[in-house]
Amino acid sequence: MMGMMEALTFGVLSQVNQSGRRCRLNHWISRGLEADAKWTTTFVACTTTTAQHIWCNLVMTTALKIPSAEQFIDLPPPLGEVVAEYRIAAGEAIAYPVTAGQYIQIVDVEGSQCSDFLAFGGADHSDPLDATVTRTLTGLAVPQVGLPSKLFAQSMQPLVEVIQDTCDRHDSFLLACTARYYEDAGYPGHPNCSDNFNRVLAPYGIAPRPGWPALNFFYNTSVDGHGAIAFEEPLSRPGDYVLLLAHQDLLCASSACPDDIDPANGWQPTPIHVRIYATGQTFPRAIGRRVAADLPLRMTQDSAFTPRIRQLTDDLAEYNGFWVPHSLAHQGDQAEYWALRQRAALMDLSALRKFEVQGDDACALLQYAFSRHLEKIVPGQGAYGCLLAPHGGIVDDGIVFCFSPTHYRYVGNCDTDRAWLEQIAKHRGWSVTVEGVDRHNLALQGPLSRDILKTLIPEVADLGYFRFMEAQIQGIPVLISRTGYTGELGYELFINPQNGAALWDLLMQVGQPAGLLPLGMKALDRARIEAGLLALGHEFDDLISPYQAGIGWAVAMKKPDFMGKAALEEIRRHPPRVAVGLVLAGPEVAAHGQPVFAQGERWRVGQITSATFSPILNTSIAMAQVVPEFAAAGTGVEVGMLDGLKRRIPATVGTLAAFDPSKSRVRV
Amino acid sequence: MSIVTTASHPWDMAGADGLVAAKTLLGDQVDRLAPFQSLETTLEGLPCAVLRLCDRNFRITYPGPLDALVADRSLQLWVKQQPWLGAIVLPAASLPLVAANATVRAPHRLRSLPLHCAAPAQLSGLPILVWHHPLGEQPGLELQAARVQIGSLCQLIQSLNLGSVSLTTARA
Repeated sequence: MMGMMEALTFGVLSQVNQSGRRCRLNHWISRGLEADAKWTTTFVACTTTTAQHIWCNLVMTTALKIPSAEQFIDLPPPLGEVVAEYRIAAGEAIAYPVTAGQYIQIVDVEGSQCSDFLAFGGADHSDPLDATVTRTLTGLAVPQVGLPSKLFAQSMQPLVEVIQDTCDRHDSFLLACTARYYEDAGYPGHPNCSDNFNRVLAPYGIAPRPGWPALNFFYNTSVDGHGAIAFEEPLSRPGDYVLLLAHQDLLCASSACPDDIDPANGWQPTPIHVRIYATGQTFPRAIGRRVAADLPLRMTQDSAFTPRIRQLTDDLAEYNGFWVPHSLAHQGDQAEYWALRQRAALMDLSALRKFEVQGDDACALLQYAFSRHLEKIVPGQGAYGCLLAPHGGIVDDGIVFCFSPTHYRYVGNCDTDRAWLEQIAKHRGWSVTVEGVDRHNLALQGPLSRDILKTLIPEVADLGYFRFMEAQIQGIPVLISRTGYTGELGYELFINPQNGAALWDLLMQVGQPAGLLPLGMKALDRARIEAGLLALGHEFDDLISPYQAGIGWAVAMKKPDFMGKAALEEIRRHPPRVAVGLVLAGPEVAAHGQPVFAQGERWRVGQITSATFSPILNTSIAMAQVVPEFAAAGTGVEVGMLDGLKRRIPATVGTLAAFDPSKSRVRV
Repeated sequence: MSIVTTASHPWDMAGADGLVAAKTLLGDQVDRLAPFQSLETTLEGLPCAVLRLCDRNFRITYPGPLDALVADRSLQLWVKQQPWLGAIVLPAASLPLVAANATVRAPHRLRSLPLHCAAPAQLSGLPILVWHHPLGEQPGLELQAARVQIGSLCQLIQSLNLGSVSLTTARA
């Protein structure tokens, strides 16, 4: 236990007085405790500034050291102007005041450490944080950065709001750990967060509780399909943090959970660091995502077009590392959808990843890694296909644009595509570079899209399907491809991000007479399902082959060799499932993962991958992956709604694209 | 400034077949509405406004017996006039004043609320549904609220009004 304590630090590090001058008030213990230090007596310290009161309870007899806050080199740099910061030693808790408009950053210093959080608003701290209210009002198990981001009090008033979160796995269901928990596990007397909270909150007149319902940051819990709540080691890495904005004057309490008897803290409790940032600062809202062990944390970002989109809606959500609109205010996804199908719509697809593949062996690399036959693709042409894994699974889907036999651009979904292509090139000894290229892109789609774009660039009238051209629109360099994700005639425009606002304004202006509308992800999802277009995580992943996903046509089996060819030759003969479209009887809409049954039978033959109500077909449709024996057009099946038992809906197998399966609209 | 009870009591319709019923009664055009959007139409020769509240929930200002129109259609839905719902009507010109004094939760926006759109909001803590739609010959602003709070809402509007807005109708 003491070995663990060596790395602990207690106390208030610094505080800002009312004049704003930063001064260190107290610091009791820092790193470098002797290994044999004895923690035997209770030490209660109180410091007071004109603005704030801070209490810490310590148990120690070790000689005190007073280092400067700058010695904490184990933390990410401050995000802004710090007005107070606290180091919570492993197993301890603190209470601290925060004023409205200040920010609270809770940092998991060493990783895998839970920090339970309480907040009290209202007069005399009478309105505590309530996780049940929070879950109910946000519709989320734990608030996330974005629209449903607030933590609410029992009075349903917001206390704090999550502004940034680099872990995105927390708990709101369980109590802060209690004496009862440890007693039941055979550890009577074990320190626990609830008692620690009782102690640090007592000076504020807050009555003790045997267990505090808290928002438990970094606590990695989950509820399985049977309702069981499980927990595992936290996902947080060293320096991961949550940044909260206080919506009112608060008394807060944070812990560094003492649980060392299970994986909740990785069996090894460590410190938590809390920074308070001054009011009046602005921090971008962002969720940190890790997509691979060897790639850095990626924070949600705005695209070049997001500032314009924010003027039109507050309904934005994180998608693949970017903030994208769900739907536009006062417009609605139905209007956006019909604009797309009948006139034209403009959407931000900047979340796609773009990679330049260049070098003498660029063609060889993509010919091997990508499913299409690229020797048939000429400069100025693109091809849709997928990157493959050795076992035939789809690593990603995307489009390869050919500039020359030594220069291609791959546009896909994943940050990891670059490393995958580089790995293949290295293994094969090919001379090729793969670099990410900073281009953001709009898609202008719909039957009138050509007419709109022609007013700016007459040459697009002759741009063929899956062809691209480089041009300038009123001085803005742009790559225009006749591609899309909607099943409509359309174009994608790739630009340097610095020109984003200008291009958005220009397209909206020239498109207005034609009834152009901006389009959000809800309408886009409806359109792509109608068109039978795949979505990562729904129709494919690296365990699903192109033959199961419905893009077997995009695999050039005649190529002499390519990644996964041997496996795909086997899979092609009898894929475990194949992609089909379903037309459901009645208006009810199915959902991803729902079972597909043989008619009148107990056994499943597949499952739904995506579903929507098709306005243009006026029927409920779905994409599904079913066993080949039930994949013939016209086959009757049943979709299990709810639990699959309470209600089944008859459905008929059809083409994967329920709308315009011949693709006549995109080729027009 | 007078407050007059005139507006007809709307019908609420919801259920698994709410959209089916709305399309059957009012045509496919209702499915082009997003939640909190509305349209003006006629039903059985009578003018009415249709406000979509959710995928399968609609509020319809039909002056006749809407429940009778769906009674024998074997649909899974309910149709009723909510006894606890009231409304007052303001001139459309009062929208900036209401927007300036109301709070709206994102993603709803009240400022420049277009015609044929609605938004849930709070006016000095009093929950209302602001519905901007034609009322007779003119666009109007219908503020729906709990019936028991209509009186408070009227007082609140008048206190905000400063003489620049004329309250025209109310339904309590």
